[in-house]
Amino acid sequence: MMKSADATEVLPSPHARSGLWTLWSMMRSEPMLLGGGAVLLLLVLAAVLIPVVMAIDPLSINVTQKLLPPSPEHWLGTDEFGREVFDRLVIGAHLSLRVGFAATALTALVGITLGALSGQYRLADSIIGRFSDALMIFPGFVLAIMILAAIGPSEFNVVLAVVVLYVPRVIRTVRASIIEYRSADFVQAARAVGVGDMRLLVVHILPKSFGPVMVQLTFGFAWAILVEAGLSFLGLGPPPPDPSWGNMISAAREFIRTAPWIMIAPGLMITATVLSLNLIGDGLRDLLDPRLQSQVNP
Amino acid sequence: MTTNTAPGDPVLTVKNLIKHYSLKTTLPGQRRTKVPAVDGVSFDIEAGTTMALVGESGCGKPTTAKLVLQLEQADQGEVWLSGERIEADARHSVRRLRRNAQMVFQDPYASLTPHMRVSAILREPFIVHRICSSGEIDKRVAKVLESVGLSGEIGRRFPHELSGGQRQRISIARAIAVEPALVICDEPVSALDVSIRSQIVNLLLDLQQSRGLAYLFISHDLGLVEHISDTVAVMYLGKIVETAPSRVFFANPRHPYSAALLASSPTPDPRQRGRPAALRGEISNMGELPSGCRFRLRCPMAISKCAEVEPLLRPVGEGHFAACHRSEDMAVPIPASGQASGSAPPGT
Amino acid sequence: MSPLRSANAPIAQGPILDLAQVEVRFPSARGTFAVVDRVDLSVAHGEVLGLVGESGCGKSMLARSIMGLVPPPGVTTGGTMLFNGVDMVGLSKDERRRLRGDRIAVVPQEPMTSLNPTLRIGDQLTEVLRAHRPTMSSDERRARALVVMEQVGIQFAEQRLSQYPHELSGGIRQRVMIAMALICGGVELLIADEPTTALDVTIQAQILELFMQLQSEQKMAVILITHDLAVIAQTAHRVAVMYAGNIVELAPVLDLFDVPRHPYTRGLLESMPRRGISASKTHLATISGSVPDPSNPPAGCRFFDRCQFAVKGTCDAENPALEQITEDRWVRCFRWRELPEFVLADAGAGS
Repeated sequence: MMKSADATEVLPSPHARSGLWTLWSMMRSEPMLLGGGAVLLLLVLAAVLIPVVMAIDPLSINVTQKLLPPSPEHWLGTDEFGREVFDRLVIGAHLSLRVGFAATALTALVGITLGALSGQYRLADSIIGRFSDALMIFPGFVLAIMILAAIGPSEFNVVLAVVVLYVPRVIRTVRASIIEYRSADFVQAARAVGVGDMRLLVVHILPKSFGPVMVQLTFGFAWAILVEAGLSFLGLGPPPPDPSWGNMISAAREFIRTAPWIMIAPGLMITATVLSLNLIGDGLRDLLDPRLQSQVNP
Repeated sequence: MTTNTAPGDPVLTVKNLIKHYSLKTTLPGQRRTKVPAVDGVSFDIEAGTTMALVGESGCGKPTTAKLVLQLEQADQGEVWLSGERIEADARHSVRRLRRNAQMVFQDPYASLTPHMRVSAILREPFIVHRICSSGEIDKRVAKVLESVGLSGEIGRRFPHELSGGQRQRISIARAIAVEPALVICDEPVSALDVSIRSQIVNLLLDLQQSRGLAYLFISHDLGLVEHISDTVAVMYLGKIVETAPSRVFFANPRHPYSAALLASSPTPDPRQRGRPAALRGEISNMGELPSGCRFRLRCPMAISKCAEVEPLLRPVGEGHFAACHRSEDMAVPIPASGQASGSAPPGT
Repeated sequence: MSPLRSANAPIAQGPILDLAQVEVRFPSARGTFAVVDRVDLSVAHGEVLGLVGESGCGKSMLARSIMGLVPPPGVTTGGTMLFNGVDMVGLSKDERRRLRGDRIAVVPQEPMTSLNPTLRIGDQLTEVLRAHRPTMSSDERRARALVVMEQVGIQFAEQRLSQYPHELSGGIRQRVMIAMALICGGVELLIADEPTTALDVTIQAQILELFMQLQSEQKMAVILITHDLAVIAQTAHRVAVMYAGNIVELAPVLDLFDVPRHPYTRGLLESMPRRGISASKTHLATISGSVPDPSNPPAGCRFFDRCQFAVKGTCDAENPALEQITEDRWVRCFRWRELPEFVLADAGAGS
């Protein structure tokens, strides 16, 4: 009998499978997360794979073929220089996604570091706190315009502007969770074992903020794509002739009556991308919401 | 292992520990009131023995524990561990403390880092104290798991996958991993299911036996305290009001508050019913302590002297100390409790 | 004093509450599972019934089911609940609501979270009257509030009325909760869910004393839910022991503590350290293992894998029924006749 196993009361574990499996089974219950993820994945795959399997040339000008509507030869029509809208859309996706990824990664790096500093040290907190407050006073987009007007339009500068704008939010999230968990029992317990400040922060406290930060960053990604498009529309983005969704829309303004497809295609792409990212963010938030988590075991 | 204490020597000596908190002011210009959470606490714990710290919530028990472990800074007072004074601002001194004194927390659901696997939690003490080579850590972790009655397989689990009893075993395993001389147990079973409690109590007793651990055992369950402690210290509003060997204490408490605690704790015997509640009123607000004895407003034995002179801890028997002007009136006459030395006889 | 707290059961004239086959279910990944599994239980007029069990055994859920307040997604899926002969399961929501707070009242575990922190004590007390006695004037309500506060031993009642919950101590807050349960004046059944667990021992003693005094004055029936057998021993007339959704033993309090029939009850009584009885620093008796997962209960007796008397083939084949073994005792065990005599270690110093 199992009587002797006094202490080895091993529970029938409901989560005995691998971490990936758990992640998948949790994601399955979040249709928004799943849907958004699928659309985004499709977009990224398309942007990466289409240039591999097809001859794509977003810059080749063909004056005889300009402003043609969508047709079997020109899938999404052509623009005012006779360039393929489809080709430009695919390559524009590269730029938009690149800006998005770069801005998000950089925001995460800077935000988590500064957030950790300000959660941990009082002096750092008052300095970083003032700066991020100051940044958050301005309407985001206006500040982005100011920054780019000052440092000049380029892809990297767009990334930089997005980071400057979005970093305060991440700092706040990280700082809030550090302050929340600093006095938690499990942190006190680790301190009592002899864990030093640095390890305490990195191993015990910071991972607790990854959830909310991930949600923040997903929205940040969407926002970066919108800002890039907006700046390009105003001529402050990466300069033409390289295509971006923003400068495609910008250039299409003149032909909105005669050749609306030039504008509709990139417009739809921006909408789809931002929407899918927002869905992912909402889904993640629901998934990580502790109130919902506690309902798993009544 | 790291200690060179002989049995009988105190593992822990606490001298005159004081910690005041200032209350938050609610109105601008309001005077900040200081609240004495721990107000001049002193005690010794000998190797291999258990001292129980009892008292009601708000009396300063957990704060005392945190001050001993330097998880909070004391305003005043000394902590000596295995004959060495702990310097709060010297890194090596605190490191030594962390190696020699450990703590088991009350709530096993909150005291394990939720995103870490059990094995990672238990590897940590070995890593931070550089106790053994990294190759050896896994063996040591398995060993320490075994000594708390768990199989090594549990290492792959996360805390939320374990039962309360299992989690508390992990907490205990983490505490004994560094082979400390002292373990502070802050209500280690009160958050557990009734049917699990005795398992954990037995485990603590076994570990004390096999490793010669000293325990500072914080609890409000007097039945449990009588079962596991060698000495008892009763706290009331930040002060120790009585301390005695366990047997003596339970046979004849010499402070009215201790007597009230004993009388109030319910007995699991339906034939012993109908005793009226021993105490009226509630613990006074720390901000507004009465003059003289802190307990006098609730005390059934208070006399006028109690309002004028604060009673100090004084010997009332062999190893028995009480802070009450009327301790002598409480002596049960059976054994001649000899020394009523020095103090003025109470005027009834 | 002592007749108030006598351990003898009162003379009953038919049950005030009669539960039959009450079941509370929660949804799970594999369908639903029963948190309260077909419970039969009756409470006599003027009786204190102790309901004891560990967390997750279903005792609180049973209480919520009686109140008609099972938290979603849980549902009371079956059985009858006769309150004074009327089946509450068939009542409309509004009829249920009219019973709650008036004839059936609850005293919760944590008064701080049960009181609204933004409302004055007086407003919260009279709120109950506003709901159940709409014809009373506000002066009458206030007067009634003062009367019950006096009854539950709150001093300076007049001033307390205008205080907020955070300004009161834990003991007084619990007294306020009791006052709230009594304020309508017609309470017939009081459900106290761990009413003293959050309190210190000296305060616990005061509150329990108050409970027993009110109970005998007002002749109300009380269901006292707790995990603490000592509290049960001090208060109850009869005791129901719950384990994993089942009632496993039901007996008058003296019988239960003298001769526990179910191995689980025995285990609980044996594993408690007792003042003046158990030898210090020795091993306590234990119940091995831990409570089964409610969403996946074992096929046989729910206590099977923790029971030192369990027999393979019998005990793990099916869940034993709650069997009536004397006029007033029930036990859910195949082997209750064969168990060795119950002796507490080191007994003798007892009474």
